[in-house]
Amino acid sequence: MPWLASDLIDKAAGILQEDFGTNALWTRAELLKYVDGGVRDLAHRSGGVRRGFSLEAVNAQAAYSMDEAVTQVDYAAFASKEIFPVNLHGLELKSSTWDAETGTPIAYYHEILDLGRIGLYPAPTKAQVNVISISTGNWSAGATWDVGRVPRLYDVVTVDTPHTVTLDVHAICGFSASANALIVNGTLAASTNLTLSTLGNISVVGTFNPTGLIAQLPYGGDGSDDGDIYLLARYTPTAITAETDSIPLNPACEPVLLDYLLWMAYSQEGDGQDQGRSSHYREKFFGLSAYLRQFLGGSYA
Amino acid sequence: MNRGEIRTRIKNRLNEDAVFRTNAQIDQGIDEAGKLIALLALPFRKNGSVVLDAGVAVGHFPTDFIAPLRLSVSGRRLFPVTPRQLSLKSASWMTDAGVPTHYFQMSFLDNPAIGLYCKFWVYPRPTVLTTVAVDYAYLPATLADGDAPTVPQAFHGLWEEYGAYRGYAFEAGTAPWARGEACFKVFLEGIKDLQERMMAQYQGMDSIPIPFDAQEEKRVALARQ
Repeated sequence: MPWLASDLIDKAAGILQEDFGTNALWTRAELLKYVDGGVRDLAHRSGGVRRGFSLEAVNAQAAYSMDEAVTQVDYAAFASKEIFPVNLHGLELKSSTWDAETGTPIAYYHEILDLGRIGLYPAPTKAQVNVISISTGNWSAGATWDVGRVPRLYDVVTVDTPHTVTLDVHAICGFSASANALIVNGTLAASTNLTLSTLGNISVVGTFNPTGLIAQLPYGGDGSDDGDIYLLARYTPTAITAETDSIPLNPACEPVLLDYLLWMAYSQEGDGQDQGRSSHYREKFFGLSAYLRQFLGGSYA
Repeated sequence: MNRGEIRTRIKNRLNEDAVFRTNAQIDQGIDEAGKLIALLALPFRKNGSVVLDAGVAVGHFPTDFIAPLRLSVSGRRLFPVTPRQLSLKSASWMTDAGVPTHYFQMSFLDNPAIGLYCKFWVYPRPTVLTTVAVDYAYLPATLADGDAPTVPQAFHGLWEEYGAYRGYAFEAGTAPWARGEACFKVFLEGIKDLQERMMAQYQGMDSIPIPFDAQEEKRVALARQ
């Protein structure tokens, strides 16, 4: 069941004996900021908010942008094989031309000026694959294509005759430098509000009705689960900015977040007794956060 | 003891006659205790199942999930593993297909009820529609007045100790605060006992829960304030 920031504020206010009246020591807006801070801090300390995602490799491109909420990569693989973290000093020791080399990546590094990007060493080479329809069907169906999978970023796609391929998902292809990215010999049927993204030409011999199609370049990879670069990373949860926002953590963490609010609220007060309480809640929050990290000890590399 | 009885005991200890704290405020402490106990000792266990389509490696834990205790397919247990261990086992572990034998948990804190799923990955990915039996520690619903915690009665005092700790926090002055701290320390002692009991049970059931924090120094560190 979702739980809201307002629930936590109400509970903290009860313990603080705060009625938000004329002589209020704390405002609801202040407590809301503490909720946001607590969610971020708990996620960071416990390392518990992690997700897996994939990116599509680009030929000879070393650096890739991740979701800006990523705080730490725990595991990375290229073409299903693990690649290992390395620092730039290590790469310089290995090769004076490391930043110009291409091949199959064996390591990754974080860019110094942009921690939201990772670099692969060596930069991957990506061969162009010709993907040809073998039957009428949806673009998203592997059975429609001779390679048995959905077309990817670099594929040159041919809709062969007499097939009709229906664009039922946001599609991407032909990001290579070759002339034709999409060749329509049969029929390509489009649907409203979907995108077809490509950098190459579209050659139409048969029928292509792009009504309602939106031309758009994608951000990052193609969003599929079959990208070349797979990352398991820690995230900073979405910011809490309103009392009606859901807290993006397991509801069992409520007492831990409550301790964070009490720690912060009491730390504002000058009274020695309040400082003592603040210290108590801070240590309790630290202790419980460290405990939560234990949950993950056996689950990750 | 049910919640009503626990509340009465807390009020007696606090010498409370509904002046300093309302019943709702005391119930809030009891509810908080239940969540902490669920989180720290994993005493609430449930069975569920997750169906994976052929070729799909990732499943979502149920919405009240806290931690995995035992996953199995057709009665055969799946062993917890790390992605790095899978990398060492097979360079193509992400695409290997067969009957699942291992799993790893992808996220703990995300709340599935709001769309950020607590996911797990099975290895190898199943070749046919597969049901994964999932034993897991769960977060129980808030107690009503007539509800008793579903742990042995010997541990019901944990709710009382934490509720008293929270109750004393409403009062100004160092003496009530010190009494509250004492209650919290008793609560932690009780948590350790419950953790050890649950650990023994889970081992007896061939379950390996998450790494347990029953270590003395960590517990002491938590109680040191």
